[in-house]
Amino acid sequence: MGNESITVSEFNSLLNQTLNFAYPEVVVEGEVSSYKINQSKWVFFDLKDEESVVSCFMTVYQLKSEIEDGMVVRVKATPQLTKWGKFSLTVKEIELAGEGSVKRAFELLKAKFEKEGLFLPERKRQLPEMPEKVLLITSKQAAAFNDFVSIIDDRWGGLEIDHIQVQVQGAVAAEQIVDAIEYANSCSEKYEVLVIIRGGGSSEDLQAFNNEELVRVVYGSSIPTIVGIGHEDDISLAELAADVRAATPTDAARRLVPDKKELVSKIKLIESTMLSSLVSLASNGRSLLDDFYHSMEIRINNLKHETAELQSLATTYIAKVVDNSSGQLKLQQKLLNSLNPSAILSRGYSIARVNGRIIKSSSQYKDGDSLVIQLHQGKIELKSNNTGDKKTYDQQAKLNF
Amino acid sequence: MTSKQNSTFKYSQAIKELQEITEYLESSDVDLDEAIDKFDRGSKLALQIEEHLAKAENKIKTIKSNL
Repeated sequence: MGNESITVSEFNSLLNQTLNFAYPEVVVEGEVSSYKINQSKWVFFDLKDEESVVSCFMTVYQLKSEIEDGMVVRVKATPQLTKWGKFSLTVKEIELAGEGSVKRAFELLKAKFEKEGLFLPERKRQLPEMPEKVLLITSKQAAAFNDFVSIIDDRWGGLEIDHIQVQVQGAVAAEQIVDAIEYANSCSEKYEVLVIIRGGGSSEDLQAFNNEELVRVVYGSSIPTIVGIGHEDDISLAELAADVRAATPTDAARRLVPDKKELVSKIKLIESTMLSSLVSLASNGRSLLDDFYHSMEIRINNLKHETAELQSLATTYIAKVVDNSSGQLKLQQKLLNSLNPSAILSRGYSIARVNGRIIKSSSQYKDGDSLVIQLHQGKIELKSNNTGDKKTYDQQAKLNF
Repeated sequence: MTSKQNSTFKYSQAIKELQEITEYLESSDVDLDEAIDKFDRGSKLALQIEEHLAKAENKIKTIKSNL
């Protein structure tokens, strides 16, 4: 011995300083095992290869992908000896290495989103049929950009496209795209649709579009989204979370705007429908008018018929009335005739008059009066002989009568 | 040329109005005088849409780079 001793803590501290000096940052690739998350905050796992194992530690917030045992990952980390004497790597970044791990992480995250309802069809919004202003999020350097613009130009006219330049692969891609979507949503009234596109590439190239934060921002966008990533067979989680999933960037262009040739045909069809509706209306009007005239004709004929019937009825009635009247007249005439004094005279009665006035009592006769008796045929005038014997005369008169 | 036209002309509104006119003309309760007016309006709209489709160009502008 003889050497000056140091405490355990001093030793740990010294070792950590040495480690930090020699390996301030290491990148290690290996297979994950014993993966676990404590208190929803701390992540512990081992990295191993065929012969060795090293412990790793990181926080949940640094996780960008779903990790599970068996995945091959690459970690950027700082080696450290803990105060409990355990050696471990404090991980700053972790990324999936190899197709198998990428695929597995994709499946895990997809299952998680499905469980949360991020892909539910009923929450998908329809894009406007004819958008006028959209925001395009992609890289101008990518072929997807030119493909998209060329299809839009071929199909449509009058669309205003604002473009935000972003990287579409690599470490910063997801972050830049998230920022672009958040920017668009900060002035959401300006844009009717968000278009996010990227051409084909390896599954690692397309990883940004499976980034959890990016997928959640697409899902949460207040502006409807259309996402077209990679080739037809490539499916990204951002596409599944979008309102409209396009198979490719050119498919996104086709889904975004209608084809003006089809629209012109549609307009022509509308014009011809309008015209035939108008012609049919006019001919309906004509037919209505014809129906009206026809019904009027029938009505007039009916009226004529009714008038003729009424006339005939009236004639019959008048004839009847006239007949009745003439009968009445004859009766009246008969009555009148029967009351005619001369007719009475024919039955043997006579009228006596004195000085032209009819007398109805002998008292109306005075001596010396001339009595005229009217018979049915002729008159008799009797003159008094002035004997003063009225009674005798009366009797005489009566006798003479 | 096109930008000025685009600011005043809206495809979607024009198409919507045109479809409403067609629906009116195809409905059973139609006044012939009104139908003739609407037909005139519809024909003008159809012509406007066709002209705009033939002339209007798309505009693209990069507004932000690497946020």
